[in-house]
Amino acid sequence: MFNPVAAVTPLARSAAIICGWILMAISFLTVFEIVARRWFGFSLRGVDEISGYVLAITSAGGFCWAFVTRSHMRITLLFPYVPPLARTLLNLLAMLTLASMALFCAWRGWSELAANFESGKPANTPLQTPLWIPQAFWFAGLALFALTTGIAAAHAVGLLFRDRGLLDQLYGPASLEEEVRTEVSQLETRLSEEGPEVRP
Amino acid sequence: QDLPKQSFKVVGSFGNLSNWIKVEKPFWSEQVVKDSKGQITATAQSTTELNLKGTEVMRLLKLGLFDFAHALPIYVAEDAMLEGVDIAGVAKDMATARKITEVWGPQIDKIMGPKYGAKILNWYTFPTQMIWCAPQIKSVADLKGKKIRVQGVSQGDLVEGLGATAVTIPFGEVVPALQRGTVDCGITGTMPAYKAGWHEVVTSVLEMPVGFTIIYTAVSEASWNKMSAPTKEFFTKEMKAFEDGAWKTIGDEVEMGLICVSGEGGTCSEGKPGKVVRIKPSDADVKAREAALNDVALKRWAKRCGAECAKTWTDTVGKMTGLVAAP
Amino acid sequence: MMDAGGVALGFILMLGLMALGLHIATVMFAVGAIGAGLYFGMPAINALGVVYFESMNDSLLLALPLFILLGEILVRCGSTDQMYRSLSDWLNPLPGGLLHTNVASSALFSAVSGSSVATAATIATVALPSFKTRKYSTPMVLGSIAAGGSLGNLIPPGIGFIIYGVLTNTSVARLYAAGVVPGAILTLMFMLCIVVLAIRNPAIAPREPVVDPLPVRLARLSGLVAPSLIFIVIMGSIYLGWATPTEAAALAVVAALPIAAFYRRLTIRMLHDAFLSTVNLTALSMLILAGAFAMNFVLGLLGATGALTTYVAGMKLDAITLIWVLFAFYVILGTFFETLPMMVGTLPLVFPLIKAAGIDPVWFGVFLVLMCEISLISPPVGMTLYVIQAVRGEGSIAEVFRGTVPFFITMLLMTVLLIYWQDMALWLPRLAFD
Ligand code: NA
Ligand code: NA
Repeated sequence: MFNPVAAVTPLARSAAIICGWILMAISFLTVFEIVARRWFGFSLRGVDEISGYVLAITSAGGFCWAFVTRSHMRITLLFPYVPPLARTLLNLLAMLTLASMALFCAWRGWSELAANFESGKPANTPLQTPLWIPQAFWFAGLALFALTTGIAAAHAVGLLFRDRGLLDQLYGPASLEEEVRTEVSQLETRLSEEGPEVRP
Repeated sequence: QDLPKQSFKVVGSFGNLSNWIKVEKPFWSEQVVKDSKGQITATAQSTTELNLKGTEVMRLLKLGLFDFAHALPIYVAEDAMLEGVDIAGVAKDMATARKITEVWGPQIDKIMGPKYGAKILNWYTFPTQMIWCAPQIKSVADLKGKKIRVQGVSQGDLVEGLGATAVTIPFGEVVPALQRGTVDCGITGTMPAYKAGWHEVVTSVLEMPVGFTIIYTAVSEASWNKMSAPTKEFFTKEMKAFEDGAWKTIGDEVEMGLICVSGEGGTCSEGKPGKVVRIKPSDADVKAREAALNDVALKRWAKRCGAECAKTWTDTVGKMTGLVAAP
Repeated sequence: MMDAGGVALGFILMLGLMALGLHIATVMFAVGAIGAGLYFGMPAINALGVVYFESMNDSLLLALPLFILLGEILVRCGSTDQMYRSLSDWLNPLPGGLLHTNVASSALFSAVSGSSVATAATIATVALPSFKTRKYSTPMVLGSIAAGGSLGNLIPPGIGFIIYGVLTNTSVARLYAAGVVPGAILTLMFMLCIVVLAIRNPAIAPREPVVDPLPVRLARLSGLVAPSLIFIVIMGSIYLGWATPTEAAALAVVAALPIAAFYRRLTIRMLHDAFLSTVNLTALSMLILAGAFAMNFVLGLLGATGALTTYVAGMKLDAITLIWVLFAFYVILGTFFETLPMMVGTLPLVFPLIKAAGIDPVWFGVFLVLMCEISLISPPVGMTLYVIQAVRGEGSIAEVFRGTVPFFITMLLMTVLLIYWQDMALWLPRLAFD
């Protein structure tokens, strides 16, 4: 059975890990800047600007990962009180609106990127990085998010007529069972092997 | 005869500075209405009110959200050519700064159409930018080895030409950074320095212009083309008056800013004055700036901008100021 | 242009859409887009795309993922567990037992973390397993962690102070100094709250009289070394002027690596796990933040903020009344707003009122951060609550909501104390800087 979420998960995960390494890199670059400025009397000039791009890239690069892990926040307080069909329709609506926003942002992101790519001029900073390079990374994240949510939304519409249970399972708020499973597996990696002795 | 009734959407500069409070806001909310006998009105908002950074305004103008925008060339400065209007250290006084906008402004206007669907109507400025230092300084020579926070590449080049380290950190971090010595000095306008509270953390200001933060008024081509001929004529006239008024008003702000930070030379109109020491540049200081400009800042800018662009600059601005930009 | 009625209608629309279970980020974005489309048409809707990118491209906000990453690395190297263990040695004998450790370890972790949400997530991860086999009241456990998390921004370093400082040109160093005493007092008030509740109803926290011998407990104090070191790196580099507050976050991330190596946990796999959590939390926060920026932009465009300023200025309130009005305003706004949008959205309109009324900007920074902390634990929109629920991964979020009630009330009391004893915040910065 085709499951777009499962299909894209490895890609989203890799994107998130790349973003993590970018965060690591900007940390080291910042430390280099601090040391150079404090003790060696020079500055890279522009680390702050790169920092801005790193945040944009990390955010956009993580959108898809947060989607496949169902982390994007929803308030589901009312869900237990509405009939199953209404719940399914709300899940579908949530998926459709999320995908619309993602597609819209990717579209606008593309027009920004295209404008800068056309002019091809390097950013007017000492580093002279062409603006479209960081924006291309940023757009790649948005595009992945838009593509995934777009396909997922289409899939959800199809499921409405074929398998409403699966729609809720894939595009509803994460089921308890699932969340427990992911969190527990996460906890295992988080906690030290000995474990604090408070835990009986 | 009466102008056709029309209303415009306008985005101004920073809400807390005089350019907005004393120039842009009164122009749109009073002057235009009065001069058009109520036929033309505008909804003008500062970038601060709109929760914008400022860097977006030209793109928003292009999208048709605004009819007019007051924008800074440094915001769209992915093109080094734009910098030509305000290369750090070129204009020695405000009159020169204005003359440069008259000869280099049209160069920038050329790319405004294709790139932003905009047309520039006038040029004005923020208060003169100077170097502010937390440690006591007496001359340009004291800047050697100091860490100076700059905005824009050419300011950085000039500062490096003066033997200092150019540092870029976000504006909001400058005051604490000056306080704790993360940076020794910073560059900003006189009144903006007072408004941002720099006078509480610096000891001295070197009264030597190092830049101006030039700003322009742009109209979206789409809006402009839709205007009737009399309306266009009206705005052309108004924008000229706006420009004259702005240079005068901001010119006065330069000295008032210095009075406010130092408490010397008059009474501060904006609040409690600070105790910053005003340092008048010596002949040696001016020479040092010229050397830094010619040997470093202009050379590097010419390289960034390209040979053709540098030649155009030398033939126009250079001719007027006696400077040569060549890589 | 919009009037107060329109603003109210927009808020009701937003709350309604959120209650339907749409994604919070989408709702804010959609409300922005609807407002923009209704009043200005397509250009304004397209403009949201521009605002979207600009709000994500912000060098100061990089502190957000960096402080999250720092926390993730510290948790994964096992040092947070040891910190928790060590604190529990000394706090368990109090009425309320392990609940105090939740609050105290949050306070200590806050000293190295800039984010309340990250603090809550971290402490929840470390603490929750300890309660699995103990018979504590579940809401109280969750509530004490949420409360502890709300110290994350108040005790420096804090992203809230960084952003407030940036928006108002107030010294971040002063703000950090101003947060210390209120942070400590709030920690004590939380613990007092637990003591009172535990005495009234001992069933919420079983007594655990068995205490390890003193030498064992002293030896375990080494668990406090790692967070202390990171705290020194962050505050030391800022205080000595080596780094800006944002740069200090990067420095702390780099400094956390040798600590992880010392605990023999510095592996690629550990880093990748830390990256995955960090990027996840950053992305979900930034998607909401970008949506909120889009909505705020439209509010500005509609003149909603300007209308409100005029309205409030027309009332000619004195300072203390203004503070009380803002107190009520922020508590209500905080129920459905997130910290950053709340701060970013209201400061342009509130800060001029504050200055005009002669209120100290540093004090107001502490007040506003406290308001933001309250917003983080007040339902229906409270990031901390959801993160704790996500880490817990079982039961109903209603239990988290219920558990925060006593701490929510404590924080309201704390605010009153801060209003009538302003020197609580202003004493330390005065001592340090004047
Ligand atoms: Na903190
Ligand atoms: Na809330």
